[in-house]
Amino acid sequence: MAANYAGDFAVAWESGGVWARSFTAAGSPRHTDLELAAGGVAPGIGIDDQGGVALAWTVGGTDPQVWIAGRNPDGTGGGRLGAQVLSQATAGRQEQVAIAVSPWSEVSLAYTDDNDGNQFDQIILGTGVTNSDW
Amino acid sequence: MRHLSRRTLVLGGLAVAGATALPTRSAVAAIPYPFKLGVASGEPAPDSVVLWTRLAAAPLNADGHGGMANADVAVDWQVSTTDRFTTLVASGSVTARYADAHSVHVVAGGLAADADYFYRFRAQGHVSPVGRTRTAPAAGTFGRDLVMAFASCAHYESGYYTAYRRMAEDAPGLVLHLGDYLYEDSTTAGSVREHLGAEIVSLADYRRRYAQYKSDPDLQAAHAAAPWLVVPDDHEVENNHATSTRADSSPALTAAQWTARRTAAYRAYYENMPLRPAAAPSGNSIPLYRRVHWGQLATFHMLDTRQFRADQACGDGWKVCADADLASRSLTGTAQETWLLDGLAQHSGTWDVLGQQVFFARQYDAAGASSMDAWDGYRASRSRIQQGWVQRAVRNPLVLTGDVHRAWANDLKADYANPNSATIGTELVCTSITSGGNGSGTTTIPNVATNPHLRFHSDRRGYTRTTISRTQVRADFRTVASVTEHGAAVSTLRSFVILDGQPGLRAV
Repeated sequence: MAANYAGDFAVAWESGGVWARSFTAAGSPRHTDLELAAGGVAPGIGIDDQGGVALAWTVGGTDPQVWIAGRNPDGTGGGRLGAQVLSQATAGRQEQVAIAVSPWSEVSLAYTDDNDGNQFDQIILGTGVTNSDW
Repeated sequence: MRHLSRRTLVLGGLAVAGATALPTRSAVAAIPYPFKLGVASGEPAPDSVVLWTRLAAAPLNADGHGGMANADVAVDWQVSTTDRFTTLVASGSVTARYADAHSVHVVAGGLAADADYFYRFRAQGHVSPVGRTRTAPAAGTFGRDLVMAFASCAHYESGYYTAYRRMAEDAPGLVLHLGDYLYEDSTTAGSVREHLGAEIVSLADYRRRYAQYKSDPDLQAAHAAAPWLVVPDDHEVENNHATSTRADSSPALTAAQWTARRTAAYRAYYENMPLRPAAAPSGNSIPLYRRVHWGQLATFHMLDTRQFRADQACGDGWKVCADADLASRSLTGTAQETWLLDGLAQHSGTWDVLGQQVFFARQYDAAGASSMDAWDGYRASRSRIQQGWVQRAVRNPLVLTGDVHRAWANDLKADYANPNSATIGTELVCTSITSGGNGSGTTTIPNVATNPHLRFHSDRRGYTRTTISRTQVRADFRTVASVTEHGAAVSTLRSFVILDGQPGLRAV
């Protein structure tokens, strides 16, 4: 769950996939339940001051990967980060992603990475992406 | 779940792939986000509007430059009819200069009349928040009814800007700010939140104070919601100054230092407001009084009652003062008075709205004293303007006022000494956004026995929302119960209607 300065908030959850919904500060939903990834697990969500949200989740299996997607306050995706795999290296396991979004839509993430398979995880911190397609 | 027996925190750029070709940035070379003062728009015309932003990666830096290097920065801008910017109506690139504190004023032209638009900026690889703006109706057309909110007096230390956010949530088409957008005084310990630094005097001081105020998310939301028309009052320079005369000697300044202070204050005002380049300061002054046409629906006559006024009479304050009647004393100055009356005579809009600063209607207390800083200190000046609009058969003169940190609604009388004289105009006074704190909640009208034309008063914070149509103006006095705590709800405390052709307030 994430909330911004005005009290608007957004919730992401796992229910046979990754789902999300945004709400105004008064608790009114801005759109219906939105499924972002049928196979996703363990989502995180961040929200900026204008109500744009960014979500991150893990897609499991034998080669887990971390994904990111951005959404507008109304749940549509136009103008935002498209759903995509996000990692420096995709071999091996990338999982346990956490996401944070600044008031100005800057996105930061951290996830664990064992792309060399030695069963020791690195923690990757990524910064510098804005939740916008301009 | 893997055991973490060795952790390496690696700072690295994010690799994003896919159809949307996003730039990959290295965190090592990351440039901090520059749009921390938000975006704003203003001065709508039928075919253009001003878009504003100011780059400040570290807004509170004492040098007033917001952490920006001494170098030009290219800033791209876009205007679209949708907030997804899928098709662009106008776009371009401007240069933000260090000498201008990296402020930009873009005149976005080629727009359709009476239309809504979205805008945004991009600089140094970062994208600004999205703002909403609009154009005015074409000359000779009414366009849509206009929801216009007006506000004043937003002392940062007095409380949170909840009223600005509630104003934004009303989705107005236009916002007027009637002055005291910021305050020059030093820090007062124990305030809800505190000014940075001592009383502001230099250009760096004013730039930093604007940056502190404009870092506020509620104020950013209000600017992003609609175009603004702005005029300053005294606190944009110094309390109760009158043209080049100071109210007191605090802080002690030589004549040259006082001139430098005024110059700095006006320069910082222009840098931080969504004004057209024509309003840029020139020398030690800034050309601010102007007319904004709103088709046939309204004309906004924005006044400047600080740069040309005679010094307050009888030593300022509340006084019984014969000098206040002297014909030679003017609040507007002669040129602005002539300009105003000429503009009122044009009858270009159904409603002639005077966006100005200080209390206009007469308000004498039981002892016969009145405020020497308000129009009561310049009574001949007020009479000339009132008689002027009567002589010119101005159909709907509507005076908007700020300054006093209270909401009022007043009938304007041809002769204030005679309650039976004609009501020849209407005044709406907005309360303060924060100044004065939460307020007592009283609606008892001060001095009403000697001033029966004063029809409403409130001591709560908030703003005034007007709905302007061909046949009437509806005024809603909007209040928030608290500014010392976040999140207060807004409610309408009282509403009035002014009918076309019938000056004066009608209760609803």
